Amino acid sequence: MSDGRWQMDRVRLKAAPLVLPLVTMVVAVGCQQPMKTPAAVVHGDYGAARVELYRSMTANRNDRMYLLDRMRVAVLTMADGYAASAGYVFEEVYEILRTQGINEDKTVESVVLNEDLRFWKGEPFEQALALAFYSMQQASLGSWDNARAAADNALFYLKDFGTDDRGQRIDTAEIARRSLIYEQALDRGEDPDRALEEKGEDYLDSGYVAVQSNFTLGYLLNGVANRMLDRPEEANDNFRRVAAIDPSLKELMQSFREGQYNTVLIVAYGLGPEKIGYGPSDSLARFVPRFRSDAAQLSVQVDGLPARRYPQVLDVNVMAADHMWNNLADVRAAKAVLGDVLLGGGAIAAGAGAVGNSDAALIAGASAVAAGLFLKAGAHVDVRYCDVMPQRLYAVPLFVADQRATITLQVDGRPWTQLTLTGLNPARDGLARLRYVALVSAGPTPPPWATSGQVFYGNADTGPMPGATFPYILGGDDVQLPSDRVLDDYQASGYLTGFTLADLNELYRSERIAYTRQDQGGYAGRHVLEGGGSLVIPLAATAGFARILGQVHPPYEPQSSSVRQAADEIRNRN
Amino acid sequence: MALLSMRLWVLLLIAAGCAAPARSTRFTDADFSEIASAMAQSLYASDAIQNRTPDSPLWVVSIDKVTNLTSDVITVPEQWAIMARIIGAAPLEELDRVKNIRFVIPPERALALRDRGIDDEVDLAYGSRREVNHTMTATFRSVTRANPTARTDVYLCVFELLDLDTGQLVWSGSYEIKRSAVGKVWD
Repeated sequence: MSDGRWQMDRVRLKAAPLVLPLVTMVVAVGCQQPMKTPAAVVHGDYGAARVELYRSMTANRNDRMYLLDRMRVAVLTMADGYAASAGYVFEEVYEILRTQGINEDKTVESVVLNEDLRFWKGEPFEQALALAFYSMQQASLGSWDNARAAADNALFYLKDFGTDDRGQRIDTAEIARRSLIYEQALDRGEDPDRALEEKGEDYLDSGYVAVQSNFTLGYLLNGVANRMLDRPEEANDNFRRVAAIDPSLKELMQSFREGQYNTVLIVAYGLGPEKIGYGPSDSLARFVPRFRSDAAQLSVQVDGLPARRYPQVLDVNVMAADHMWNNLADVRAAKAVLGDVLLGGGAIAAGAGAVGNSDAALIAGASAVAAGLFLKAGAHVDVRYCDVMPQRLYAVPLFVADQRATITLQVDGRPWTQLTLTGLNPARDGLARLRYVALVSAGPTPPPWATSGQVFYGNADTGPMPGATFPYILGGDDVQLPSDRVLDDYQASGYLTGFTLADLNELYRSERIAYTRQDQGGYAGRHVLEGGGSLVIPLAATAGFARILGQVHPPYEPQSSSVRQAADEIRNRN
Repeated sequence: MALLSMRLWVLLLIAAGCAAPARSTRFTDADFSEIASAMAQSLYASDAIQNRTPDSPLWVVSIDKVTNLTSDVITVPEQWAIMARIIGAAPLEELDRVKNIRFVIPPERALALRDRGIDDEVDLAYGSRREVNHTMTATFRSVTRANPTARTDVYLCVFELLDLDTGQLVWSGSYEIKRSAVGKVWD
């Protein structure tokens, strides 16, 4: 048997068990709808987006979307300032991300009960970001020990396949090409790496160097959490690592290491890159920016004092473009099915070298059949991704004197991102409060709520509004949970004087309004002020808090006769 | 007999073949139960507790949730539950009556529970009985070794009962757990 014939058979043998399941996979993938990022997200209307996605989340653990659904919801819920509800979702995300080898073997059955399709676990950069979000979620609730643990998990080792002749990071197509050349060299007995031949390993499993993560945000969160836990050495190690990865962050890290701050803002802007197919039959994946990268800084102004500027700590466009942050599943699949197409055709053929035997055309033909199957299926690589990740993140250490402080943020050169935060009750115990703040990403001007800098409704964080107050559902401006103290305030204002707390509770009950997220199965729905049925408010000093409490909403429309009657009585009396 | 023996071998082989490798190094509920059970046994069998009588000076022990310095997230309810299991392993009334020991939770926890309307978890005589003179804490640490395809975590869980007046460590107990998992970390 000639080398060429052997190689032909090898292609057949190799492709046969793979083509059918892969075609099944790509047919399934081909039937998928492209990711539809809710338009509300870029306008800062995270409430509508998160609740809609939460309701449509698959409950079926067999479903490939199971983790992706939850990741999207959790990230948007953080953007809306509902950290506790986000935690409810993140617990499942974390459990799955901490399960190893999920796509390797029967673990898939135990987790997703589906042998045919790859379970969507996200690219490594999406996983690291999700874990960083979980860290921020825990920190937002003051659980710094868990914030540290989650950040620690985001700092996993990466596979570095190196750079090209010009020192540029190689892309997935180049990795696929090198992998094939490697294999063919092995076949011809021209093994460039004897160790590989002896081990019989795939280039994708052995052609890399395991390197420490360069995830600046993960180190930063780890550093802050360790500082809050009074572990300065570990904190400083993390801050130093950030400065070593990105020297432009040296000054910022010094502030985090030595500065006096009681507030940490992690500020997000834009949407992360979109995953698209490229190469032969769109068999490979890459991420292309939806929001362009630049060096614009974040301007931060506290109580009208002169603004300070802060650099980005993470550009997700850059992160996603680096092969170290991709799982190369597309390369494996494309290499297995398309084989020499990756070498002999398409844009990535240049410089790849030729297949040095007479059966090359046959091999290419066999591969083209496989490629045809891809095309016939109308398919390409799986392009699902976590589409609600931000494009960039900033980190800001601040000292906030008291709860009346206003903090105004804006990305330089993007006036629509302006957002004024209110209501933050600074920590008094030597610790810091962390808030994740998602800026509005679509212009040309910021929505009114983003710049009002006011609170228009009495709430549990900032207390009742000055003057006479009574419940919003009765036409007033108060959305505090009913309690004896709250009822006292209403009655001191001359309202609900004949009411007991039980009577007040009954009014809310008749409108089916829930007080806590536990009443809503662990996840807070839309707030009453936005037409929902929940009294749970977001954390102060978040975009959700500003949107819900920083603007005047239309009057409440009672559903029950008892509330309608009580509202009428108050209206007639006024 | 030979047939039976062969069947047993087959069963053993099947069982060995079915034993899937661990895929996560996370704590499990069973771990928490095991830790709490072992620590409760150690605490209540300790000289510090055994030697006490109804006439011993009152101990008011403030319990705090676990401080988690591991590389695994342990949710706050889990952190409290571990401590609650240890306390709950002995009849509280009996501890009060026979050993003159009372357990209380920190004020911030009590307030948080009251704010959530979970009054039944709050000792109503809390204020008058809160002359805390002991504290019971737990700190979980871990050492992690990981590469792209395997991970091992060794957890060390240390519990301490401290006399706040003297600074003396009245009791301490520790528990170790090792967890290994194989498979790509981020496949």
